[in-house]
Amino acid sequence: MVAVAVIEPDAQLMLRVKEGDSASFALLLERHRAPVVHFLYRMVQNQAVAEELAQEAFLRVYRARASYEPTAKFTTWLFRIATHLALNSLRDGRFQRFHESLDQEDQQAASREVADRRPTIEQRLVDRARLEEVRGAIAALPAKQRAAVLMHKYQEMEYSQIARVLNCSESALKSLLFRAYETLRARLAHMA
Amino acid sequence: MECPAKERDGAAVLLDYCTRKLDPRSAAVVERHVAQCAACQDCIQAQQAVWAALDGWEAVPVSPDFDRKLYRRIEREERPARWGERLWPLRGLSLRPALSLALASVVLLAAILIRPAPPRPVHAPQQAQVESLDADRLERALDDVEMLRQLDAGSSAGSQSM
Repeated sequence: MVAVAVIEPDAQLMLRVKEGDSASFALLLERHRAPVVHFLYRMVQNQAVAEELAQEAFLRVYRARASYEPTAKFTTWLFRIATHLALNSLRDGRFQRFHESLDQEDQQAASREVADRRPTIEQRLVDRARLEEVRGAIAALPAKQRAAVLMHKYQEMEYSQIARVLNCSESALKSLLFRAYETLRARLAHMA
Repeated sequence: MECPAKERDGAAVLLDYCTRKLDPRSAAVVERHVAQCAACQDCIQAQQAVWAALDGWEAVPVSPDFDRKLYRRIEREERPARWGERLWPLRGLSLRPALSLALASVVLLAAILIRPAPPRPVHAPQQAQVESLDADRLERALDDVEMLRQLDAGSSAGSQSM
């Protein structure tokens, strides 16, 4: 029986980008723009910095198209680049200069709310306090634990994929997640 | 089943149970254990609270000009390359043959320029050569005369016999 290597659709698109097909790059961007920006936003907690980092991540993907080989899932590669950029940004402290307040976020969120579903002022204050607590709990995690939790919770990635993104073993990742959720349970369990 | 709340690998099982990632058989085993384990019940309850709290954190939508900014950065990076292509008159061709040809020309030119000059002619040997050439010519002329004489003798003998 001949083993046939199945290349995932994203990797196929990237191989077309390698051949000079810019439409395939546009498709990849369309598919992964929001997940990457959202991941980076939760990592650095600033929308402008998150978008700048996401653009850098896609730019690096585009730059590396000539040498691309589908050795791993495309998203593993993409999130590896994004995580690397986020960890560097956090280490450099860039995010602290731009740290976004909840007021700015409220303004952005308000613009997308539907008028008849607008919550009361009290409800908004409660939501805001809860959100501040969640953001604070996530921000207090060490950067690598934060990345692991965000990929596990919001991107719903498998342990093996997160481990590859973070360049660690699966058991090391489980240990990382165990510590991260233990911290989060201690800080957020009262919110139930 | 050992209590998963008390070991690190087991915590991953509880996490998968909370997120409904366990297969039905494993989920049933965990459920049976949790029903009689207060520590696991607390852990699951706390984890579900964390999960619900994290669900409340919605990400802000991506800016509408995200793509435009990205493509502008890509274009800015590619611009010098395009100018380079325009400056190159044979841009459809590969550079390798042109470079090979240029290299070969340089080597040929260098060989011509660096080639040692022919030795300066010395007067005496040239004279000797002239002398030897004259002797050859003389010898050949004598041979020719002899051949003509023989021909002449042959033709006169033939005319007498007729």
